[in-house]
Amino acid sequence: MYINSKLISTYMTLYFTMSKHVNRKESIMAFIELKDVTKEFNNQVVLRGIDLEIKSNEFVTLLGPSGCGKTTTLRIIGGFIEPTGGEVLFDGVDILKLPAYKRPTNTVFQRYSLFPHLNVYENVAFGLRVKDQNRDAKKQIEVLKETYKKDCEALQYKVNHDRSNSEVLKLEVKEQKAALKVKLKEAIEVVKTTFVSKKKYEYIIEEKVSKYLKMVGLDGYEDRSISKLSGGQMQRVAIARALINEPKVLLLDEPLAALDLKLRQEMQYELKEIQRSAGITFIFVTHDQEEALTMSDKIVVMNKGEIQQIGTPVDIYNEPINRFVANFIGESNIVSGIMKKDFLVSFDGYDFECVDKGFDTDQVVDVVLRPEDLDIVELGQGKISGIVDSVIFKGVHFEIDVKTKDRIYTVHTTDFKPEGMSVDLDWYPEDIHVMEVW
Amino acid sequence: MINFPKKQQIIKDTKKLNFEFYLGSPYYLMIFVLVIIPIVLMLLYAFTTDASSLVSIRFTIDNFIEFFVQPTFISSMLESVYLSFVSAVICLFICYPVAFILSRRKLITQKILVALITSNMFINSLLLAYAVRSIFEMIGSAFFDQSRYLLGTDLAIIAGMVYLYLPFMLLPIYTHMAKLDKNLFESAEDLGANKLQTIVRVVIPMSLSSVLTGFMMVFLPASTTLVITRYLGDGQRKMIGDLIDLAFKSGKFGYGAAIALVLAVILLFFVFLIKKVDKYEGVLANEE
Repeated sequence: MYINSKLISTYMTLYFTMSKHVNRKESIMAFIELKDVTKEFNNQVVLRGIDLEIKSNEFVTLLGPSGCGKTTTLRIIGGFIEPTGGEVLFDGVDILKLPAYKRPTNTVFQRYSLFPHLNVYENVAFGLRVKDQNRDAKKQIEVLKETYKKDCEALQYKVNHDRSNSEVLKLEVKEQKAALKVKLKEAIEVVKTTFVSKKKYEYIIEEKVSKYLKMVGLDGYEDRSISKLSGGQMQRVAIARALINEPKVLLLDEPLAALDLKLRQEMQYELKEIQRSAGITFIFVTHDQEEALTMSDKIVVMNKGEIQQIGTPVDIYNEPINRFVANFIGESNIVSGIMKKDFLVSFDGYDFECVDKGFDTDQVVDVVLRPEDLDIVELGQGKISGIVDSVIFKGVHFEIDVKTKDRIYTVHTTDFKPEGMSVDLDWYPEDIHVMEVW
Repeated sequence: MINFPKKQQIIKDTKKLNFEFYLGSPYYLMIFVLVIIPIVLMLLYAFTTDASSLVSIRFTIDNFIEFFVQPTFISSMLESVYLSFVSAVICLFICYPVAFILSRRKLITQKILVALITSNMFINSLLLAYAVRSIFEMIGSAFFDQSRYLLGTDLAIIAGMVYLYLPFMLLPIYTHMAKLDKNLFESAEDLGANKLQTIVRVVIPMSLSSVLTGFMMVFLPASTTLVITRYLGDGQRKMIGDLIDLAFKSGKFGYGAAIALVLAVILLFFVFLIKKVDKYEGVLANEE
């Protein structure tokens, strides 16, 4: 109970400082912290030692192939799964003991999980309906009663420890107590006037529901039955329903997976917009790297229950830390090579200039060459020569496989080259990205 | 020249209709033979005098008058409805939590427990009633010095009804509960509903239709039962089943039919009431 009330009060203060004028110091501070979180299902390790810091107002994406533990991580934060070990801190307070319904998080589920027995309006209003509208006022009354009790005890203490046993003092204390009681009653009455009546609360609900329905572009759909909505509409209802509680953190579990491409792109944009305007921390789970790159402030790449890399989309794309990340984020040509010295890497039998340093001499490394960084040039003008093996038209670009003597390089280019043509591959030194072998 | 608008021909899809009709014809025949004809016969019996030959049949409402005039008949009618109603309510209060708890267990546990709870459906109801009777006799002779002390009381009859008809309440509720989307509980919890609020706001409204089905499954057979009153009523309680039984045994077919009709009307009224309450029927309709 103690942790609980303390937590709420910290949230309250945080909320006010955050919502009015975004305090710079606060936004830098880690808001959610996962410390060495592990999870086992039937002796199978699903998560091993997840360490993660999330700042407030951040759009964080957990990205990874299915079964990598990203959804498990999300559900641990949401309170639906208890981790086998580790800590989850919100603002420095451990929340693992808190049940899901007391956490300042709301979730948009993968399959929406809208209530089929309620219409759109009631679905969105659900979070408000289960909330006690007078909770804060009631808490205030509790506090008043506590102080009254303490005051009375203090007075009683005086009497109990009065050696003279004087009747005058006893009477005096009695009167003081009575006065305190009257005061308490008055104070409670004052607090009670702030109670929101059922009717008034209904009005508040109506206002809020229409506000959030408008936000997700569903005003006018209040009386619709859930079964009569399209996938995109259901998804919007789910978002409105999660947002109406004004959570500190919104957890999104692959919410766009069921939508078609066009709608998905639209919703990506809208989600980002909502996140910016509402000032909420978003934790987004997806297996779609493009989605992750488009929306996130920070991407957490996971594989087999471990975090591979944390960074901004640009960092993750340009500086993948290992073979897995390089392969998973975008397409890449990964070549194993040897780091001769700083700024010089050797692969496919040649030495190439690069911009990486800090490796041991002759260390075995993986080299990443992004298909779009490779250029096809005329024979004799590039760095490696080969023959065009296959050409696939992809819409925006051609995907051309060039067969060199050691391997096949994939190139994305807008210039068409016929199959069988002898060409050279060229790139700039900064296009080479060298990674340690994991 | 004047162009007359061409008459639009309404093309009826008679072929499909025919096929469906033929497909359903065995059932229509069955309904006609097994439902319509018996009802007509019942009506005929109820509204005519008992006579040995067809010629002397006359229309009459004497059978109904006889029924309504005698206060004992009315009271036994009310008693039947009352006892079965109470039993159904008790069944509901037992089964609803059980079904909910069951539906949240492991699948294998669910199956075993459901099989155990419904096992008394596999046993002849006569034996069951007799078993309950024996128990009450034992209690009677142990505590009240008279083995038949408890027989014929509301307690004995209701206990018997609850015991016999419990599975009929449990099965529809449990089947429905097991089908409820567990994700919905999670999303309710996520939105701030505690366990109780989840039950009140999600589980109950979504399972209401199954409750009503279960209620009817208990209430309807319990109100016309013969076995229970015979063994647990110990002949002291005349319920409507006994009256019909008695009427037919003594050859008063018209009278028996009249009682059955009155009972049917009353039960139909209850079914109507229950269906009225069921405002979440759409939930069931959505399920495929």
